[in-house]
Amino acid sequence: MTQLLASMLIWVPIIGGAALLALSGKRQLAEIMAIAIAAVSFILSVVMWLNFDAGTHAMQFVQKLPWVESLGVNYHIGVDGVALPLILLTTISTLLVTLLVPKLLTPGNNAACLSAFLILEGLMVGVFTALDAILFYVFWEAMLIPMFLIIGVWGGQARVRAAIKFFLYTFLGSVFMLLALIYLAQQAGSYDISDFYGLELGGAAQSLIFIAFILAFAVKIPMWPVHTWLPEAHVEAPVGGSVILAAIMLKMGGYGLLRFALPIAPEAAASFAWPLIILSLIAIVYIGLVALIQPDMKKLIAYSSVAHMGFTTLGIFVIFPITANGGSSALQAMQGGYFQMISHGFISAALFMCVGVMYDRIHSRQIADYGGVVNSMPIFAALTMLFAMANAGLPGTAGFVGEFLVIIAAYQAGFHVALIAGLALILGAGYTLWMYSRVIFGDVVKEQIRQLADLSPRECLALGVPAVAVLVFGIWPQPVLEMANASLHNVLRLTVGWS
Amino acid sequence: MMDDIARVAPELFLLLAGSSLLVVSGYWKRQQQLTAIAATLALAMAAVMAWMLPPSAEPAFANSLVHDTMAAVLKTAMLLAAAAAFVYSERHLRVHDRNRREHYVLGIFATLGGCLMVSAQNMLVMYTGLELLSLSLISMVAVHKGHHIRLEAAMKYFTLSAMASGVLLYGMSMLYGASGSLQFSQIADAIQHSPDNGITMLGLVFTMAGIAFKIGAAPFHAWIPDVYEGAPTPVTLFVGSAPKIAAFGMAARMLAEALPHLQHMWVPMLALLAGFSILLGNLAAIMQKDIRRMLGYSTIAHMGFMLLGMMSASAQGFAVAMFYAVAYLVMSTGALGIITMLGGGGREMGDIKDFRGLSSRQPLAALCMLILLFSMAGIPPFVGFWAKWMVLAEALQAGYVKLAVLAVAASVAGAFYYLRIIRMMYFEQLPQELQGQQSPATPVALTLAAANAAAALALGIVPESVLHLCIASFTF
Repeated sequence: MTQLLASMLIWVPIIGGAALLALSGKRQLAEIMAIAIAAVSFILSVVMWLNFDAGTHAMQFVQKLPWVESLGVNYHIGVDGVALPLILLTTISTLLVTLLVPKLLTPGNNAACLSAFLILEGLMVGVFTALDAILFYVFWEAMLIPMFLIIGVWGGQARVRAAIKFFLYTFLGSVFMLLALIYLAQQAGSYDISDFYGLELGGAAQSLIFIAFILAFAVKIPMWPVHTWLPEAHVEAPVGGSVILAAIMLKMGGYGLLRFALPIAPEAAASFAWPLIILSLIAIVYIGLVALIQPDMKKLIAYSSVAHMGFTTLGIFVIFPITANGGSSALQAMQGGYFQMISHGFISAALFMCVGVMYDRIHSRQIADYGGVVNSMPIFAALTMLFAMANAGLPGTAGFVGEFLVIIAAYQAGFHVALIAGLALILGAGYTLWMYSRVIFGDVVKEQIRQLADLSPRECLALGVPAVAVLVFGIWPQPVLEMANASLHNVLRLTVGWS
Repeated sequence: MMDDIARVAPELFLLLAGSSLLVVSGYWKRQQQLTAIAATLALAMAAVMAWMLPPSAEPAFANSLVHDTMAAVLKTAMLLAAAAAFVYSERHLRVHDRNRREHYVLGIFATLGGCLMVSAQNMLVMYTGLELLSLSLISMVAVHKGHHIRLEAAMKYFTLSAMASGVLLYGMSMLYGASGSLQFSQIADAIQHSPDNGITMLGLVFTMAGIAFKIGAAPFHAWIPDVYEGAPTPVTLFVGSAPKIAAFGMAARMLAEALPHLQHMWVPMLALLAGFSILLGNLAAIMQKDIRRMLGYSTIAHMGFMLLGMMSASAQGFAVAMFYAVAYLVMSTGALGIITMLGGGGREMGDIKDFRGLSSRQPLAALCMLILLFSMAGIPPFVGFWAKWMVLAEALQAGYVKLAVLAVAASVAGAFYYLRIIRMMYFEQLPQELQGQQSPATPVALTLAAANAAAALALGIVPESVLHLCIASFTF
C-alpha cells in the first residue's frame, strides 16, 4: 500500500481537481470538496513522511511501469530526501491556499480556480517524484498551464501581460532542457535519470548540457538577471497563485539543480561555479537594494524572494570552491541552501497571504495606502511581525537557519563571499522591517483602516500554520535537515566525489 | 482477382457512395440535411472498412496498390477526419451556402484520391490519386459563391497546384526514364545499381519540389495562407485536415519505398525544407490577425516538424513522422472544426478578436480549443508534445543538433500566437454586442469537439496506442 503513496499523491489531486470542474456554479460545495481533496493529499504526504527512512539516499516508494514501450519511456516515480520535504511543502501550501482562496476570490467560478490549484498540486508532486526524464519533463511543462490560467484569468489588472511573460519565459528556459534530456538518453540508452549520472560526457557536450539545464532552472529559481518575469507574475497573480509560485514553483529550480544539473554535469558545474556564485551574490545584494525602494508590497516580497533564493544557489554552487580549497563545509553549504528553500517556502507564502488579507479589505497593495493597521488588527499585526522578522533572518526563526549555514560555510570559499552574503541580513532587515513599520505602525491614515476587522478564524488557521512552522524550524531545524541529509550527501558524492 | 477487389473495398465503397450521392442528392432538394448525413455516414463506414480490413504487404492489381499497416492507419485517420469535418461544417454550410451538396460529393472524391495516394505502389496511381484530390479541393474552394476573395484563392490554388503537379510529373517521368519502371520497388532496385545517374538526381529534385508543395513546406508554401484565409471556413477545415495525411503518405511512399538509396541527397533537402518551414511558419504566424491565416502559417511550421522526423531516414524516423502527421490531423481538424462550428451562426470567426470572452459564451468549445491549442504549442500532457519531442529526438539522432535547437527556439515563438488566442478566449471580456447571443454550435458538433479534444489528451497520455501502429508501418 505504501508503495502507491507517491502515485496517489500525484493522482488524487489531479483527478479530484478535474472532477471539481463538474461542480461549477455550486460555490459552497466546490469549496468544501477542494478543501477535502487538499486535506486528503496532505494526510497522504504525512503518511509518506512517517513511512520514510531517512537513513538512506535510495529512492523509496518506487513504482516503475512501462509507459511508452516503443520509446523506452517509463512511468517511474520515487521519493528521496531531497524530494520529500518539498512534497510536504507542496501539500501544506495547497491546503492553505484552498482554505484561503475562496474568500479572496473575486466573484465568479471558484470551482475552476480551485480545480486549477489542485491539478497544479498533483503536477508539482509529479515533478518532485519523477525518476524518468520524459515523465519529469511532462510534469514540468504541464505545470505551466494551470499557473498560466490562474494568473491570466483570476489575476490583477495587468494580468494578461504577466501571464504571457511568465509562460514564454519559463517555456523558453525549459525547451532546451528537453534537447539535453534527449541527448542524455541517447547516450545512456534509457530515460532513467539515475542512468544519466556518471555518464562519460565530453567537455563540450557537458558544458552545453549544463547550460541547457541552468537556463531552465535559473529562470525558475529565478536567478539574476533572468528574474524579471517574477515580480510581474507575483504582483498580478491572485493571492493563491503568489503563494504557490513563491512556496513551491521557485523551489523547482533548486530541486532541478540538485537532481539534474550538478550530478549529471559535475565538471561543467565546477567550471561555471564562480560565475554562478557571483550571480547569486548580485541577486542577494542588488535585488535586496531593489526591494528596498518598492512602493508595492507584493513587488517588495517578490524581489525579496529573488534575494532569498540567491542563498539557495549560493549554497549549492559554493560547494565547488569549498571542495577546491580542501574545505569540509560543502555539506553544510548545501544543507543551508536546501533549508533556505523550505523556510522561504513558508515565510514568503505567509507574507503573500498577509498582503492578501489586507488587499481583501482595502483593495490596495501600495504601502503608502496603509498605516496604523495594528490599531484595528492586533492579531494580524503580531503574526505579520513574526513573518517579517523571519524574512529578515532573525535568529530563532526558520529564516535564520539557512542563511546562517550558507554564510558560515561560505567562509571556506573565501572571506569576501561570506562578507557579501552577510550583507543580505542587513538589507533584509531593512526592506522588510521598513515596510512593516510603514504599514502596521504609525498614525492611522484613513478611516477605512480604523474600521478593519481582524483575522477570521479561517485566516487565523491559514496564517497560524506557517507561523508555527517558522518558529519550530527556527528553533529545531533538525527534522528537515535529517530528512534531506543522506540524499544531499549523495548529491555531493556524485558531484564532487565525496565518499 | 477477388482478393484484389477485397483489398480496395474502402475505395470502391467510397467511389460508389460518392457517385450515387451525386445523383441521389439532386432529388433531396427539400431535405438537404440528408446529403450531409449520408456523406458523413459513407465516410465513417469507409473508415470502419479500412480499419477492419486485415493489412497485408501483398500488393493488389499488378503491384499498383497495397493495403499495408501504414495504408490502413492513414486511411482510417483520413476518413475519420473527413467525416468529422462534415459534422463540424454542417450548420455552417446550411446557413451560408446553397451549393453544399457539391461540397459533400467533392469531399468524398477528394478523400478517395487521398486513399489512393497513401496506398499507391506505383507512380501512376500516386499521381492519379493526387490529381483527384487536388482537383476536388480546388473545385471545393471555387464552388462556393460569394466574395471575390474566394475566387482569388481558388485561382491561386489552381495555378500553383497545377504547376506543382506539373513539376512532380516531370520529376516522375525522369525517374521513370532513369529506372525504366513505375513501380516503387523496381525504381529502388534500379537506383541501387546505378546511384549516380544525373537524370535520377534531376528527377529527385523535381519530385521533392512537388512533394514539398503538396505538403506546404517553405519555400513552396505561398498558397497555404491565402487559401486558408480566402476559402470558406468549411473548405479551409477540409483542406487543412485529410489532405495533409495524404501528402505525408505520398512523401513517405516515395522517399522510403522508391528512393531510399538517394537518402544522402534528400536528407539535406529535407533539412532545408524543415528549417525554412519551422522558422517562417512560426515567425509569420505571430503577426497574423486572421485566425485562419494564422493557422495556415502554423501548418507550415508543423509540416516542417514532420519533415524533421524523416530526416534520420530510418524506420523509426518515418514512424515518428507518421505519428506527427496523425497527431497534427487530430489537432488541426479540432481547431479548424471549432472555428467552423462557431461560425455557423451567420457570423464568421475570422479575426482573432472574435474569440474575445469565448469562455463565458461557449465554455465547452473554449475548453476544447484551449486543449487543442496547447497541444499544438507542444505542451505536455497533450499529443502535440509527444509528436514534437519524438521528431526532435530523431533530428538529434541524425546529428542535426543546430536544426533541433532552431526548431525548439522557433516553437517558443510559436507558443506565443497560440497563447494569444487562449488569452482572447479566457482573459478578455465578452464584448457587449455578443452578450446573450445564441450558440451557433449544434449539439452533435459540440460533442464531436469534446471528443476531439479528449483524443488530443488521451493520445498524450497513452501515445503508445498509435505509436506502435506507426512503428509497425515501417519495417526496413
